[in-house]
Amino acid sequence: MDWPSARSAKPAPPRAASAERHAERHRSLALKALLQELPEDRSSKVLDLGSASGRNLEFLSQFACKIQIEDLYASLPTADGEAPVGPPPFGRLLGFSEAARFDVILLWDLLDYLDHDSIRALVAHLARFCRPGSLLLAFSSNQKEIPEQPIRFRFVDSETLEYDVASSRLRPGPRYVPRDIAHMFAGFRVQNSYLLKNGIQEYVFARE
Amino acid sequence: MWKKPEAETPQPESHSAPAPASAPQPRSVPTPVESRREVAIIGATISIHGELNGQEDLLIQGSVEGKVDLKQNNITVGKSGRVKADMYGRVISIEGEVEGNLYGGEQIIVRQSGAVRGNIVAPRVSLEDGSKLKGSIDMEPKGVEKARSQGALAPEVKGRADSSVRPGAEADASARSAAATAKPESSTARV
Repeated sequence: MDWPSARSAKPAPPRAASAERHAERHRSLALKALLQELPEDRSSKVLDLGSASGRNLEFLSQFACKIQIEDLYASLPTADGEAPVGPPPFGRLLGFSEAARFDVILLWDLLDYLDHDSIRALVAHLARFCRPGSLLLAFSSNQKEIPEQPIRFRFVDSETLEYDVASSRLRPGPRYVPRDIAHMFAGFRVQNSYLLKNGIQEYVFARE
Repeated sequence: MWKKPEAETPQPESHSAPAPASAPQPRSVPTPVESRREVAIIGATISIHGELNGQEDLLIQGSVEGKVDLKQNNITVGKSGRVKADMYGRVISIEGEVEGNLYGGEQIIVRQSGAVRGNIVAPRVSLEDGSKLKGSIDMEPKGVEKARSQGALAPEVKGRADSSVRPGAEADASARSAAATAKPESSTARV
């Protein structure tokens, strides 16, 4: 699951955090802002780059009857063997047909697990499958350490997410600043941005 | 193989769920006797290459590659089932591994142990926690009909999935072990 070359340079060895597993809730202002933009006729097409979740499917079905689930992080080349050079092959990993267009893309916290070049490559790839005005939800942490793997968020309601804090190991966070992220999202503009008390910066990007 | 035959079966005769607009043939009201549907079983050591079709519910514990076309019936891919095929059924339930597109007239369920790599088209789709899916989900009411008429998925939906679904067919204790009929001209079965 590791993607060494795609990540920020020289991550320190992960260290173990607490062993217990519990669920935490995350009040997301960006999610609320994004959902307010969606029409109620279930006409939106959603691309979820996170893992499959029955609860998320149920929630998203209020807004969309077509949902693409990709679990991108799990698809990234592993650290086994020779480390890949350059950004992951997003064209192959996310092999949509040329006619595909998404109204909403849920990137979740994947940014924190990719380096600059990989984010640029991913954004460029996703931009091809957006319409003007398509929305993209992304989170980034400004904490020194983040979970070793992306968080699996689950919808609770239109402004609340839930996730499991596993017996997770931690890794250094890239601590992207908003200016850098805005530069990496070529073709998108920041429509909403919120810095939460827990150090999570939330973004809603809109395709230009 | 038959750990929980009835508890997890998704009401095969229920018509309360929103039926697809193109609901195939109307069924008579089921009597208690009729509700004991018979289930054809492809055992764990059976491997089939070709096209399966017929008029019975089907439980796949073995390996199937090709096409499974049981539009009026329920299909279950058991935990040991490995399917590489497009599947057409009424209720499709997946506990094993499937690579191919799934078309469910009523519902598709991907159980916790299931993995689907392909697209799912059904009015109702259920993913259990822990299930794996890579592909698109189309819950448009007329999605299955549209897919049938087009003979393929909508352009934005490129088919791939890996998850498991378990159909709600009731397991008859005397279920026969290969009642599904294989089209002679296009299929070969080997044990």
